[in-house]
Amino acid sequence: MTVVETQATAAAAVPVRKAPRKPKAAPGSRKLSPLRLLGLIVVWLFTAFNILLLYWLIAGSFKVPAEIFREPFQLPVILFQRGTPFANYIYAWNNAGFGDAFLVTVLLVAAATVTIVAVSAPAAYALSRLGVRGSGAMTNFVAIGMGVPFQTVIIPLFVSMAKIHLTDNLFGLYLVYVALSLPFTVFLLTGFFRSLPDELEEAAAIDGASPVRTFRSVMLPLARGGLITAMIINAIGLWNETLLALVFLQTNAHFTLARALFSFYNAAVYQSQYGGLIAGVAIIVLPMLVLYLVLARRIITGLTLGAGK
Amino acid sequence: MASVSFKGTTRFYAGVDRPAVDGLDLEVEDGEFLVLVGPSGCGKSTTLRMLAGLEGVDEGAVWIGDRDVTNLPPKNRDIAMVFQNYALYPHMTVADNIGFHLKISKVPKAERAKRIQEAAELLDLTEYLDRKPAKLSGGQRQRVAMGRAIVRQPQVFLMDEPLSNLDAKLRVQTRTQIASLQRRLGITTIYVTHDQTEAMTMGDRVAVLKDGILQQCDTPVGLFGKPANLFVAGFIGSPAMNLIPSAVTAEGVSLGGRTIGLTPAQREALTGSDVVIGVRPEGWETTSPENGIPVMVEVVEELGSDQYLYCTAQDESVEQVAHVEESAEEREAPHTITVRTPGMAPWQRGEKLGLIPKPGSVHLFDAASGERLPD
Repeated sequence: MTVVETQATAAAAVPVRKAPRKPKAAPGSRKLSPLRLLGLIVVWLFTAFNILLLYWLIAGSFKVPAEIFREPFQLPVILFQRGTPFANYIYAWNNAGFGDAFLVTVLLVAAATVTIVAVSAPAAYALSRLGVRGSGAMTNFVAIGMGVPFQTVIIPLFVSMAKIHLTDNLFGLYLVYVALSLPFTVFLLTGFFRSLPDELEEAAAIDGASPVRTFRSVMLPLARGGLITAMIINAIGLWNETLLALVFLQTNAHFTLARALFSFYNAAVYQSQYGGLIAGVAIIVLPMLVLYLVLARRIITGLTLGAGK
Repeated sequence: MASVSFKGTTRFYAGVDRPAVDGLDLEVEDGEFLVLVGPSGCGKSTTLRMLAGLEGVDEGAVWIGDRDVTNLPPKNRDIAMVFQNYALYPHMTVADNIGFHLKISKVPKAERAKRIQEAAELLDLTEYLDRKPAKLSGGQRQRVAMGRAIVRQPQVFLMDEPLSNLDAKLRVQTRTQIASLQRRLGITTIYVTHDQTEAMTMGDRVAVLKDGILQQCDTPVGLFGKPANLFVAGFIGSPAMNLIPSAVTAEGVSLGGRTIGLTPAQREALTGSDVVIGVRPEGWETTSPENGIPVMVEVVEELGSDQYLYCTAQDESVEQVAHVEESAEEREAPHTITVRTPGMAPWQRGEKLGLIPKPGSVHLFDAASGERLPD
């Protein structure tokens, strides 16, 4: 008998051990306490409500008004029977001026988001890591900016922007977006930079890197997760932003999606085109949902793994 | 390559009145391997960081070779440092990690690749050059950190407890590797550790620090054979030296009924009427209880090659003293006398025996000042 055969018979003789499908939890941790039960119920209710809303939105965008009101939660039928399932979307796209608005919004949000992060990241790095005198106070000052509701400063903001002829102007709105988003983003990123290990900076200093080089070659790549988070949060916020767009933009050609939807709402309701209205909402909501689903995976955990130990 | 000198170097931390490092005077020769050792908070890491330029110097100066580097930023000091947790750049490959300094100092690409390759070969890292640190084991990361230091061919290596994250077996292995690598490269090295075994085995010389003050700097043999004060006596050597207080009489000092004579020089140096007698565990001879200091075995530690007996004194005058400042728990535990006997000896718990210090193995310290009395 060869060695291989011996091994084979030995393997056959030993009964195959099967691992449990799910390893047993630590004792006590799985107990269903009242608080845990309550928490579970709240979480599931919340999730169910949101999923229902999303379903209602998407289903509604394929329905005719009669269906929307009579059978709000059934699957759409009539438009599919007619063979024109996308009629609402076509209506919304053609009547709301979404074509131009889409382009405007994508460019505006992209430019503003990139600028916000590009300005905030070095600011946050300087505030949290360079040990500048008074950086604590300055960070708090930036944080105060988060506490000021932007609605309260709209009028002075409009007046001053009007003085420099930047109302009804996309560049003006871009400036306003960037300015109003900075406090939150800087604050978010200071927390993120603070959590990075000190030794990496010291190692870079000994390796001969200047502070700028350290920021660019070492800290920034490590902070990628934080930067992407900041970008997503800002992009979603600005994409949905309506009030400032409403105040600052007057010409149709400058309208952002949210602003265009606002105009479209009046027209659609007047024409009882509720299906088209819901389709219009879906056109605005879905890109952000997709963006989130795609990028959420890229909020990389474990990028700092392996730095130590 | 260069020498390193600390000249009255002092460092205060914000909000603490006692300096973290107090007037340190230390000369490190060119090519020497110096180990800084001491308990936590003794200022050894601060000393290293001052030399690296990561920490300011409040008083005094730091010199590397013939340059005063006290106010130079780290990058102008021509030093390389291995951090306790390695501080590898997690987003760079092993090759990029090792070559980061060369890249910054604009070494041409071909030359850079060659030097990275050399360092990798020296440290057995060639097959990992394309990996990121997260995909390496602890020992490999430690070697990458070493590689990052040696690729620079700096004037001084600084190492801040580089082995403390490795498991016991690997630590012993790496200890020898680092020491032999240093001897081969001949680069002045300052090595910080809290582990006295590491200090004794690796260093050409060992500097013992306590509370920011240099206690003694000597070769391992000198440190072990002639500790300068009670702290060094208790800190160096494992298990620690037995320290037994005794009063000075006209004849000398008595230890368990025996008298040890004092030389005139020793009497001269005394500042009080008490001394502390130090005997290392291997400095005892065992005999019957009537003939030596009577003790009873409390614990037997069998190591195979050696055996350690932890004994309590039967005579109250032979009470062990604390050699280092102790925590509350340590103070409460009874202080035993440690005896080293050959391995596999038949000693049992509860057995009684007598101890006699071997000739030449008695260290005498002034109890009041803690200083060693002249031999």
